[in-house]
Amino acid sequence: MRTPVEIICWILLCVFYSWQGKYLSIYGVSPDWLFVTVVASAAFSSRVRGSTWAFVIGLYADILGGGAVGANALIYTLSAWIVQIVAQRFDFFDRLTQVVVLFLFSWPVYLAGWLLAALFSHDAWFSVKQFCAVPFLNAIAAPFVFFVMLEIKRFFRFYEKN
Amino acid sequence: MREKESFNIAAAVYAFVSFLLLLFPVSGVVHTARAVCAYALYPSIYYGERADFFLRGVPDNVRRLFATDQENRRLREKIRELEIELEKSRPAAAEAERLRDEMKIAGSSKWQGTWARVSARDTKNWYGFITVSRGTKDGIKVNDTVMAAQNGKISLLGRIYETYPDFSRVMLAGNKAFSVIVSLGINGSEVLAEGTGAARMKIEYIPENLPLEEGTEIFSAPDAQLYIPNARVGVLSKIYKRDSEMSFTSADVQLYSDIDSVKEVYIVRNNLPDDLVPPTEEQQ
Repeated sequence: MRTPVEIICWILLCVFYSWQGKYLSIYGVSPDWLFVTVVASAAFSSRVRGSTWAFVIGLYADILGGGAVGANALIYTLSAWIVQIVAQRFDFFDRLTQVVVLFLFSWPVYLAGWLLAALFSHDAWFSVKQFCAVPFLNAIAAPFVFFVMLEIKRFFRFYEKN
Repeated sequence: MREKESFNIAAAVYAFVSFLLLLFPVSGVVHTARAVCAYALYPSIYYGERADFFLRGVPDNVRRLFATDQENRRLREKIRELEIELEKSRPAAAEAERLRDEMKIAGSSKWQGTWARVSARDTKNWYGFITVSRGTKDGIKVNDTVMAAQNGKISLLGRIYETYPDFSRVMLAGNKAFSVIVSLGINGSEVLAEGTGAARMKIEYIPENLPLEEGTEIFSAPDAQLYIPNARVGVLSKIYKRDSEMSFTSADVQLYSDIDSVKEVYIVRNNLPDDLVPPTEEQQ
């Protein structure tokens, strides 16, 4: 029961992600909803499950993005791995923690994405606007995404401790 | 502890697979598959300025394939539009062809005149009168000869019956009140042809000694005063048997001019002798 529900939730997220770029962006910039959700999922899921979803969603972002395939999958997998290690010491139920982790985490992730694109793809471009704005937007979106994630897990009784 | 190991192994495997994907040239294949699927399901997203956004990461040869398909669609649309335009212009071309033929016929004739459009027809007397778009302002006078240029021939259609500043009424050769001295063949014997109220004329009195043959061309008399001389009128279409008590025979004349389809007429100035010019209203 759990896996089909999760699949449906992730598919809905992917649909939302495809749609929001056109309608929810502010001056062409919007939160990286996939990344924020992957972090939230890694914080509240079992370790293997969190990594698996991070890899799958990363692949989806690669396919959708048009850059080097595998870059986002690698970054999201490593991000989930780091978050799950950090989750042992931080309380991710606290909203301030959610905001700070996403804020601090977004910059290295963006830089890593650009670096991998530069190494493995021909169309690596660095957007200062995105680099400056996306971490703030991710931090703002984090409490909402964590809240939704927790509510879904509570509703379906999927909550589990790391 | 076991969970921690499996977590580390899973993360390492996923990271390794991701790295392999980065190393191998799969990006082009993956993005081509994505673009092809999207194009098959929803081709219109590849039109317009956002095409570049949707085609990011797609190899150039695949881009060219999409561009060719789009160009093909555009050209098909263009062909359809041009076919419609062609259909629209076909009647105009036919009309231009007809007018060119008429102009050519009129240009090669020995008479100088004025073109006029048929602007109205008399529905109660279809073969009696028509109205043409030239009047006294254009120098048209009563009794001017009206010719029709049709089927490669310029032939007698009627004469001007009434004139107004901007238009004139034409009495047609088929009108019962119309008559003209004609010759059977060029410079042949002269007889009187009269209108019948239909698209033909009738010759009532043909001397019995004249050799008659159906298909003989009829011309206006060479010394005609009221009409221009030697103008084509029609052909003998039917010769009636002579009554035993009469010394005349009669025949029908099929007119060359087709009143049903005539659209322009050629009005030839007659320059009648003074004694044939009807008095004006003021003189009356």
